[in-house]
Amino acid sequence: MKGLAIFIVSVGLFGAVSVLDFTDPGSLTRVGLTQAKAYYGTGRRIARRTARRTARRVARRHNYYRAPAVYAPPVAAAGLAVGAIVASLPSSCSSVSVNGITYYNCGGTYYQPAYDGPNLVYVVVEPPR
Amino acid sequence: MFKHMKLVLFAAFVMVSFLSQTPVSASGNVTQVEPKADKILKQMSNYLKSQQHFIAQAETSYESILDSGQKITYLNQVNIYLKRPDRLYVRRTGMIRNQDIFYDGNTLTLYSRNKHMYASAKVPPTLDQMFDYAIDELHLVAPGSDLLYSDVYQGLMSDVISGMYIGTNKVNGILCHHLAFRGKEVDWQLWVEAGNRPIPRKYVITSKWTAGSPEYSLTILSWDSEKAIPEGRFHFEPKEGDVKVVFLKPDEINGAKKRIRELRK
Repeated sequence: MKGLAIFIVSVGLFGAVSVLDFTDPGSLTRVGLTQAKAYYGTGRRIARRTARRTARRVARRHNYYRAPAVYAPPVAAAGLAVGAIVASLPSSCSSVSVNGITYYNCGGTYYQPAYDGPNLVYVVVEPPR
Repeated sequence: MFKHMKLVLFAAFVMVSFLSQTPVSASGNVTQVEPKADKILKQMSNYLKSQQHFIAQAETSYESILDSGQKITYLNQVNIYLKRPDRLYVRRTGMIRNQDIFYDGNTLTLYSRNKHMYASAKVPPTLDQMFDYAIDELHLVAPGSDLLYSDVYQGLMSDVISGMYIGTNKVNGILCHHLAFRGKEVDWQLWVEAGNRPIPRKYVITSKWTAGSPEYSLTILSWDSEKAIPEGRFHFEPKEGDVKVVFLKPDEINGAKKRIRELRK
């Protein structure tokens, strides 16, 4: 029962608002956030919803929560591994369309835009061909 | 012997009084809800269920606690167009979210108006099932959707420990009954319009075990169940320049998180 309660708490943080969702690389420096903050899911806690759906999640054994997950380490953008997820693109990217899918080429690192829930994020991918 | 008898009687008395005062809900939670609070919540739920379609304007706020402990409140304006059992259009406008959600009984599309990006997913055929799917599979969670299910009472009451009737108060000039409920994980309050239109005028959820106790709130500013909603409202048509993207799968997100944990070791 205690384990269940802890689990409920751990999956309970959703309905998330990304602090960074609205930022772009330019505005990051304008608002004085550090480069590390550009990475998706930096620590924050948000209001969650009633437990009804939390219980449903427990029943389905989903183990997912949004915050304060950090999906990519605060290292130079060029060093990001494939599969890393960031909240915003580095500066000077060009958009490329391959087989109907849009990618961004940022200094040789390719990003694919995607939704993580309601948050628009960018996933580092292998260069498309 | 007499001494023991007294003890047994006392234990029996305690048990009987406990059982008589604390009904156990279907989910096994011990609940203590004042009858008046329960009645108003049921009236609201039945009224919402009877609304075959409605257009509502709402304002929502989310609190976000930063690492520093500072609390930031984000506001959104939300327009809801709902038609039971299987149509929904939601337009969210705010600093963080400028997004539209389309649901036509088959497909759910999320569109970011600022970035002109959209993702579509095939989803179940009723609103109730779609909300569950959106939460579990797409991680699209809008706390206000608690009030959009077909049986709002059942959903709200599923984790309740106690409920109180606080009194009457005005929300944006409209007289409301104020109800307050305590759950295991969250506490929540409702202001239900007094009179023959028991509309939920204000809904506040407090995440009490999260440091800083962030709150979500939703205030319904207008409610129209007369005006017909054109079918086209529920369908998304990409415009030129709109970019199609995907919804990330849970394992992709978890994979990224796992790699970070390993890097930090």
